[in-house]
This record gives sequence, structure tokens and C-alpha cells, in this order.
Amino acid sequence: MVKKKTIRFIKKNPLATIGALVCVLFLLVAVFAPLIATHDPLEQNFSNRNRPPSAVHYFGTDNFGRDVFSRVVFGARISLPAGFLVVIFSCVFGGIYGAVAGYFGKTLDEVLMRIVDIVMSFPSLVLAMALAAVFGKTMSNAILVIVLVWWPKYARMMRGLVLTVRETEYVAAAVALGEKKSRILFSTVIPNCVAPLLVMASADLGAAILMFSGLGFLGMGTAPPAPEWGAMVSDGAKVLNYWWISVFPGAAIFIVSIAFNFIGDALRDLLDPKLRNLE
Amino acid sequence: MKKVLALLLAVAMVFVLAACGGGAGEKDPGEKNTGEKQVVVGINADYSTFDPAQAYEKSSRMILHEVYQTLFRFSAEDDSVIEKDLAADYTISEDGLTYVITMRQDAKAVTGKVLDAHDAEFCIKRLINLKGNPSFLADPIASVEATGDFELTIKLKQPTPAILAILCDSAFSVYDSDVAQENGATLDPATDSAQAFFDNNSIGSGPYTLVSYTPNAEAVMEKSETYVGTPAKIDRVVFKHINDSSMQLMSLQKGDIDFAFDLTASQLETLADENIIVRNYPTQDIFFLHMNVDETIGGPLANPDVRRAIAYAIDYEGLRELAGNDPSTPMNILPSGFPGYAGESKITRDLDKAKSYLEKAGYPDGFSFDCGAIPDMATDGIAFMDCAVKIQSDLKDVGITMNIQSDEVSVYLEKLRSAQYQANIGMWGPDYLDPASQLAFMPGETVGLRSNWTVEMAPELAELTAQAKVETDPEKRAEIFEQIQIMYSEIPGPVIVFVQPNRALAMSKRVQNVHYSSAYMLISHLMDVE
Repeated sequence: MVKKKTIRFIKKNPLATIGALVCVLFLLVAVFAPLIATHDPLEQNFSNRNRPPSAVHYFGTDNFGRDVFSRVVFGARISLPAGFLVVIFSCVFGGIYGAVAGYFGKTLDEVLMRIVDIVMSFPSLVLAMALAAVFGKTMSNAILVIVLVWWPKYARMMRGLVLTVRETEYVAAAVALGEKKSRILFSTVIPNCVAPLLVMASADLGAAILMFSGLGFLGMGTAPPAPEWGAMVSDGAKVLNYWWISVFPGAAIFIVSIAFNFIGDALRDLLDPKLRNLE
Repeated sequence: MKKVLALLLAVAMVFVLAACGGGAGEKDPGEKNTGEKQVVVGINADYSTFDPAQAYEKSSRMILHEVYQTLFRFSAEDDSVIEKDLAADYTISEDGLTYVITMRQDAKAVTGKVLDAHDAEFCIKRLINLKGNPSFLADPIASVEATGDFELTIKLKQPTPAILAILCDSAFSVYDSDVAQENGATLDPATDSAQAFFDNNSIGSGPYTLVSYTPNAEAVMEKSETYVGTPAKIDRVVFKHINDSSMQLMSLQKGDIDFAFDLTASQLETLADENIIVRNYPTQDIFFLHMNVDETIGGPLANPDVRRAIAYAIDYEGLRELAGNDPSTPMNILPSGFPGYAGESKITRDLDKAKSYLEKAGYPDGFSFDCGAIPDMATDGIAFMDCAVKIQSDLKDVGITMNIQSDEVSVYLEKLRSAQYQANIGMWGPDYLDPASQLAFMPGETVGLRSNWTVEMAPELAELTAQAKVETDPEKRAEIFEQIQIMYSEIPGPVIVFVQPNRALAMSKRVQNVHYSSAYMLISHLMDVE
């Protein structure tokens, strides 16, 4: 029975299946990076600089003679956790923020949502760059600044969801039972709003990784010599003749973000048909 | 599905963005159809003004030297030869304190006025009084006075053998003082308002005139009709600001520009284009690791044995390869090309020695320190960040962890000038082409103090420095400078020099007779096109 269901799902959602497989693959690569990599990603070898892909160096070597394949493999350990962390933090902070605004309403709602409007009115990448320049360039700061520009959309969505759930009968029942307001919010309202938020979060994972790499590309992400994909693309972009230095990490960014998007789209269809036409 | 498309587009844009850093306006390359000759220079320009009394960026001299004449100048053929420019003759008093300079009487500014000693007096006084960035060059001067219409007398505070080389700097440009005063130039920094005028006009007697300057876009010079020397052959020279080196490369290959100033070593390596040639010109620039010797800031770096260990841990050969274009490594602060140069560095990488010094210093297992470096910036084709990454990996081999702090230029300079860095990757080009300029690295001097190196820490070296400043006999002077370098390495000082690069200039084959001097960079008035 299970097998049949699986086959039907695959037939119906070929893209989602591919996406899921690719994601699992990259997660495995991240977890087993030291086993997969053929070289130390930071080891420099000056007698072997800028070599094209070969049997020894699958993706060639960069300006310092470092193995590009190993760097791409280890890069998964940076970009994937970064993407997840960005989405988790934005989701938790934005979710609670929006829930509080939506549930308590009135002046508090007005004030909180105007703050959201202000943050959203900045172009997010530019704001993130400005913040990154102020905070200093480390991986945790890069994650932090992306969270700082991303949480408002979760806040908005959560507020909308809470506004509907607030009026349901089970909430009214909880109020009638004399529950504390904060308890109702966290144990009754929020759990009933979480599903759509998670769908949105999973669809955003790809974009989060892309944004993180974007910061890296602009020199605002991790400090060198970390094998961050965006920074590697930027290194290689200076010398277009040595195409392999930037093409492989670029391809990694592309494949991972598109795979996460396939999954996100499928999850959306599966869990929440209502959301299909939103956004 | 829409989302997928959007993502595809976004990824595509990342690649496109990578390809076109700052592609503002791509128009008329080379000659205009009127038969005028035009040359376009692509440079990541650091100039911000063309007021001779305010400008102090290396690339600003490339323009100032063309639009103004100075009393003396470095020969375009040989940097170490000083020629008379506006000066016709000069005498030096016995005590070396008074210079009487007779000026030529036929140097006409574009305003039509013949430049005389009164103009020179005004210009030098304005330089001194405004206390702008280049004003320190005039520090040795006690007074300057026009003692005749074409006779200028300069009195010095103490014998300064470097003064003629200093007078060659574009800061000592002579211009029409009447027109300057009409446009706000005064001798009082509080009321002087001529900078904006100088930024868009030139009132000198050089082979070119400055026609326009748009910050971060371009500066345009046109041939002057009043220049007394051999007139320039190119009618218009455009300096186009292109900060991205890959953009410079592409523009050069397309023929939009004739010179690309800032190509990186690896770009030059792969450059194979029959219309482009690359020439190497010597520079007097040095790249170095700068360590703070104040224990509260520098930590372990304040220990001389730690600095020795680091000196032996650095892979100089690798860094030279990274720099490309066949550079050398001088012993320390004095680059080759100056009298008194003590020869190339004798230190080569030796991990055993490095480890034994670390042990001696009490850090057998190494330590960690922060090192500031500017991201995405390259001088003479050498990216600061690349040097930092290379040294980081070299030091890791002896157990020293170097954390790279990537700071934008403005942050970097502020931290550097207030001596806040534990260490940093630094670059220095001499202020004027005389070894005295390198004395800034000595204890208690500007660069020395950036690592909190005071006179008390190295009194003997400070004593030698004082001697070097006033010694007028060229042979003795060279000897003192040699001693300084040897002593600096023995201490060792806060700076480990790893590369003295050549400047590789990629240019279109149609440009002829190209001269490049480390003082004035490209000499526009001598070049020609086919």
C-alpha cells in the first residue's frame, strides 16, 4: 500500500521528488564532508595554482592552489546551516511578533505593524549590506542581518492567521473557561496557525541560501578563507578565464536553492491549497 | 512555478552582476572622427580633488603633473634624475639652508599670464598655510619669498638634502595666483574656498589643462596651447574611473579604454590578446605585515622573538608568485631604486627556525592574533586580502592562528592611524622619491607610531634617523641608510616587508612612447597614438 502511494506521489510531483533527492544529497554531503572531500579545503599549494578540472582535482584549483571540489563540499556546511538558521530565527521571531500584534490588537497592533511596514520599506539586500558593514563580517552576523530584514513577512502572515483564529469558537471557549490571555495565545492560537507558516518557511529556504550567498559574493559574509559559495563565486569572477573557480560553487548555489524551492512548492500544494494563490 | 522562474532569474542576475561591476556609459573609444587624438585611461582612481594644496593621492599627481609645472621635476626617463622645470638655475648657500632659484621667464599659464616668482611664492605659501594633506611636505621650509620678479628664495629650518626631490612633488605646482585669488584662493585656511574651482579648472602652464572632473566618473584633460615645452601629441586624455578590475579588463579588450591600471596578477597571466601589451614598471611601493609593538594592543607580537618567528614562517616566494609581474623582496623598509638600498631580504622560509624562536618567546604552541586587511582592493595588481589569506595559511604551519579582520578602507585607515590594529596588511608608497621619505617607518615617526613604536623603544635607531635627516654628503648618507636597514632587521622592527611589486600596465598596442614614472605615474604629454 505504502509503495503504491509513494509511486503515485512521485508521478504527481516529479519536481518535488527531484528536489527532495537533491536536498538529501546535499545534506549528506554537508554531514559527511570530511569523508567526501579529496583535499583540505584550506590547504594552499602554490605549485598548483589555477589548474583546470582533472582526475586529481575534480573541479580544478583556485588562485591559492586550493582544491575547488573540496571547498564546494565544505561550503555545504556553511550555506545549508545558514539557510536553515535564517529561516528558523525569522520564523520564530516574526511568528511570535505577528501573533502578539494580531491577538492583542488595538494600539499595540498599530504600533507593531507600523514597525513592520518601516522595515519592509527598505530594500532588503541593501539594508542587510549596511547592517553587515556595521556589525562586522562573520557568519553569525551575516545570519543575524538576514533575519533582521526577513522577519517582517512572517510577522505579517502570522498576524493575518491569528486574526482569523482569534474569532473561532474554540478560542471563545478558552476565554469562557477563564484562561490567561498569554496562555490562550501560546497554547491555543499559535499552534493552530503554525502549519501555513511552516509551508512559507520551507519555500523560503532556497531564497535564504541565495541571499546568504549574495552577501558572501559582496564580501559581507564569512571572513576569508572560509569556503563560502558566494565568496568563491566572487573570487572566480575576477578571472573569467579560470571559469571553474566560480562556476562550480555558483552551480551549487543554483541547484540547492532550486531544489528547496521545488520542495517548498510541493509542500504548499500538499498542506495548504489555500496558499497556492497567495503571494 | 512562478517562484521557480523568479529564482532562475535571480541566479542569472548574480552571474550577470558578476560580469558587469560598474558599466557606466560605454561611448566613443579612441579617436573622435574629427581627427583629434584621444586616449582613455581606465583606473580605480583614488583622487578626490585637483587643488595642488589639498590633493595628496598618488593618482592625482598623474593629472596635476600634466596641468601644472613645478620648479623641479623628476625626469620622465629616470626617476632618480631631477630636472629643472620652471627653475632656470639655482644656487645653494654654504650652510645648505638657503636656496635661491632663478625661474624661466617664458612659462605662460593658460590664463595668458607669465608665471613668475610672486606666483610661486603665493602657491607655496598657500600650500603651507592651508595645512591640507600634502602640506607636511613643506615642513622643512622656514620661509619662501620672491626676491625678484623671477627670483625665489627658500630658507630651510635645517639642512634638508631631500628638498629638491620634495619640490618635485605636484603639491608645489605653480599657478596664476591672480586668477586663483579671484576664485577664492587665500593664504588663510578659514577663508580659502578655491578647491571647487581647482577641481574643474586648471590655471597652470603644463602641457594640458583640466577640462572637467566628475567624482567617481571621469576627469578630462585637453592639450594646452601655451605650454613652453614640446607640445603634447594627444589632444584629449580621459581618466575613466572603473573600480572593478574585471570591468577594466573587458573595457580594454573591447577597445573602450587604452590603459587598464588595476588588473590583478591572474588576469594578466591569462591575458592573451594581440591588441594588448603588458609592460612592467618598477615601483617604490612596499607591502608588509605591520605588527603593533605595544604589549597591551599587540600582545605576543610585541615580543621581538615572535616577530622573528613570523618573519621565518612567511613564504616570501609564494607571495611573490601571488603578486605576479616579477617582484622582489627588499630587506625591509627601503625599496630598491633608492640610494642606500641594502639589497634583497636574506630571510627565506624556515619553519624550524620559526618554531625555535616561538619556543624561545614562550609560545611553543603558537597563539592567535587579529590582522586587518581591506577587502576587494588591489594596488599594483596585488589584492590585500589575497596576501592576508596567504600569510594566514603560512603562519598556521607554525601553530599561529591569524584571524583576518576585513575592514573597508575608511574603517581601516581610521584604525590604522589611531594605532588600534594588533596587526594589519599594509602598503606604503614613498611621499617623495628620496630615501628620507621612508624614515616615516622609524620609531617615533608617523608609520612607526601606528604600531606604537616610540623613540624610547629603539633609541639607537632613532639617533641614526636624526643623522640621516640632515646628512648632506651623498655617500655618508647612503651609508647611514644602509645601517638603518641592518639595524631594523636586527631589532626587528614592527614591519615585515614581503613584496616590492612592479606595476604592470596593460595597454592597447596603438599607444606609442609610453612613459611611466613612479612619481607621476603615466606621463601623458609624451605619448602618442598610431
